[in-house]
Amino acid sequence: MMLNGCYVMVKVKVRFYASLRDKYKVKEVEVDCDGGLESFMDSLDSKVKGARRDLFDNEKKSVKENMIFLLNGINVKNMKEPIKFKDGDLVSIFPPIAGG
Amino acid sequence: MGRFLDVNLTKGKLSDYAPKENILRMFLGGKGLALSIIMEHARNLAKKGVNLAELDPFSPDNVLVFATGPATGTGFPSSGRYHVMALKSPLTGSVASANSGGEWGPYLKFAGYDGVIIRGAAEKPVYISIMDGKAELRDASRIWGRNTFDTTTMLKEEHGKGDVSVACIGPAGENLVRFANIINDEHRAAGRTGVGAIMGSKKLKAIVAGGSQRVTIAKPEDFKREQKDALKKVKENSITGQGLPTYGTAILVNIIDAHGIFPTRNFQESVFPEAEAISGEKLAEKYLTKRRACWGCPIGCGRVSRVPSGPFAVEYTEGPEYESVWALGADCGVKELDAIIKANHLCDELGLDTISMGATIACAMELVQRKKIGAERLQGLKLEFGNAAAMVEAVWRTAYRVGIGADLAEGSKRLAEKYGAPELSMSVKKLEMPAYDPRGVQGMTLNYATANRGGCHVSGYAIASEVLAPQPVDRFTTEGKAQLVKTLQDFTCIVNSACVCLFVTFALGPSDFAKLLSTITGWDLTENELLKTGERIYNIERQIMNMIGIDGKEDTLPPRLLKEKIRDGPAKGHVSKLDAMLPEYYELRGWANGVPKEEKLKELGL
Ligand code: SF4
Repeated sequence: MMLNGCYVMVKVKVRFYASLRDKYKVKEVEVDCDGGLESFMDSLDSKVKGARRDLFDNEKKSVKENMIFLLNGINVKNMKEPIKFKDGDLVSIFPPIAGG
Repeated sequence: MGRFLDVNLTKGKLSDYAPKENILRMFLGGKGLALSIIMEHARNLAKKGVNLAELDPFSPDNVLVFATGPATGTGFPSSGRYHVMALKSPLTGSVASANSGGEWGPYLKFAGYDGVIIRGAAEKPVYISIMDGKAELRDASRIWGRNTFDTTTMLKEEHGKGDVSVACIGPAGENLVRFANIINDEHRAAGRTGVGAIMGSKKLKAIVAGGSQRVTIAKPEDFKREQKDALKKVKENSITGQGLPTYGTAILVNIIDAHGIFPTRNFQESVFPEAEAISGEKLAEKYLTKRRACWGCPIGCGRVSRVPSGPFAVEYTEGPEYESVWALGADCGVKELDAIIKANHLCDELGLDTISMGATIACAMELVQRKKIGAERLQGLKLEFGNAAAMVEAVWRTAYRVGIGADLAEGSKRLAEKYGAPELSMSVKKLEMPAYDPRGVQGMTLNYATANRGGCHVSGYAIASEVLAPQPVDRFTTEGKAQLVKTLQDFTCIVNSACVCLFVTFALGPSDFAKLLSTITGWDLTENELLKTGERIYNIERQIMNMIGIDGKEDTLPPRLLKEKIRDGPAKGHVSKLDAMLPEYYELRGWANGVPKEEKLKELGL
């Protein structure tokens, strides 16, 4: 996040669900990033190996097509603006699942 | 397709009924064909001067129809299903409708029949046995009063163990609990709208089916090719190939909660802080023992679970499914998964719909919270949100109509009316709504309000498009939702008339259905014809509802959802914006105030 021309690091809580939880063997991590998605993914990858490859589409610079990625409960694919994380944000990440 | 067993229980008479070819093509099978039979019955009653609005659902004049579809038992992926319909539901007073998997549907076909029509009522308990083309009525006094598991075991022993399938009611159906279900193969349920209570009122305990009759496929070679294609799609799809098989439906708990649309404490809140404790992940970690698929299903979402010890111990049970976890869990404020599993097991054993059961207990809990139900009526039962033991006890009390259970057995609407707060029933057309707060998903708002059978999620499962899709449509907007819901509702009619599992639609669309069904029926079905058929089925159901006296007045939601904003969480501040969608929906449907217009009926050949 830019504040007075300087980058400020923000802390974001990340929760994994379903097969991602089994794969990463972790339910929740906290990530420091500069507020942008790529920085978030790098930071996440340093804590959870393979996360960037699984979750980030390098070409489109966005969350991978098949992943459900919620920022404070809102699907980022429905957001009009590019993702900007704030301190204390909650990210919830789900692989494709269904039920009913 | 085309051979129904027509049973008149009053006369003790069994005959065959064969719908005409043009009717088959117009209504396909399953739900559609059952509706055409019910329409004929309703017209005959009306001709005789019976007032359909006043007809008691427990009267012998009510008709109950079990119907398989052209796909049932063929090997079309997930084709182990059948549909049950009745002219009047004891819960809603409207058309009753329920669907089930397991094995019974295919076994009825192997027995040589595509469906069973039940008219009249027996004087003494009976069951129907259908074996290899031969059907008979049998005395059921030995099994009357038994739970669904014992009933199934006893009938299987009598009729040949592994080769038969049993659909039956439990004590709840016998005791006319208004949301009693029909259980087949021990844990699969034709769950909603009280079809089990209709069986109970007719003194029909069970239908046993088995045999080795062939299921006809018009073009077997073409079918094999299309089937292979479809199976590949189901296997390769990440939801039907991985998500559902690995985790079952309860995996939805966390994702729906994370969206802030997980109704909690009778829809007073929309986030359940203890969701994790009742999640699919927790179920898999602590209680899951294996999977169990319905007949011919490559997906296999069914769970087998076990609670090894404690007050809620259960040695073997199936489920619980997402909706049941929600209804008996978050909706009652209960966070103990073992208690939820136990209550779910009791519902299967006693023959109760888990959604209506949980939601009715939740409604009672709010009535207690607001001091509408007094201590003297509760006789020490602490029906308070979060009280797991009381929730479990309320289940068997309901099935046997004991104490407060007699009130719960009437469903949430009658319960809330009796205690002077009808607005606390979270139901539409008296059917309790399932596990999605529609205030945070506008497509579900419209679907809940307009679904023919009432508060139903599977009539038009907009959650698939608004929440679970890789590129979801914006769930808060009302734009485009009328078209979305109409299309989903029409397509679902096809799925329930072909009689395959709704879950295959995550992988297969209308064009796949058209191809597969063409090879089975020998008709040249196009996607367009199919969708028209779906629309026809949706409309004939509405037409019967109109004859019963139900119109657009009932296409609405409880005031809480229309007026009270969601208090907290990601969907905070939202309400259900029904008014912004309903006129467009009626326009698209060709309806005026919930009634199909003449020209629409004409267009559909109704
Ligand atoms: S997907 Fe699940 S409910 Fe559907 S047929 Fe298969 S096992 Fe049964």
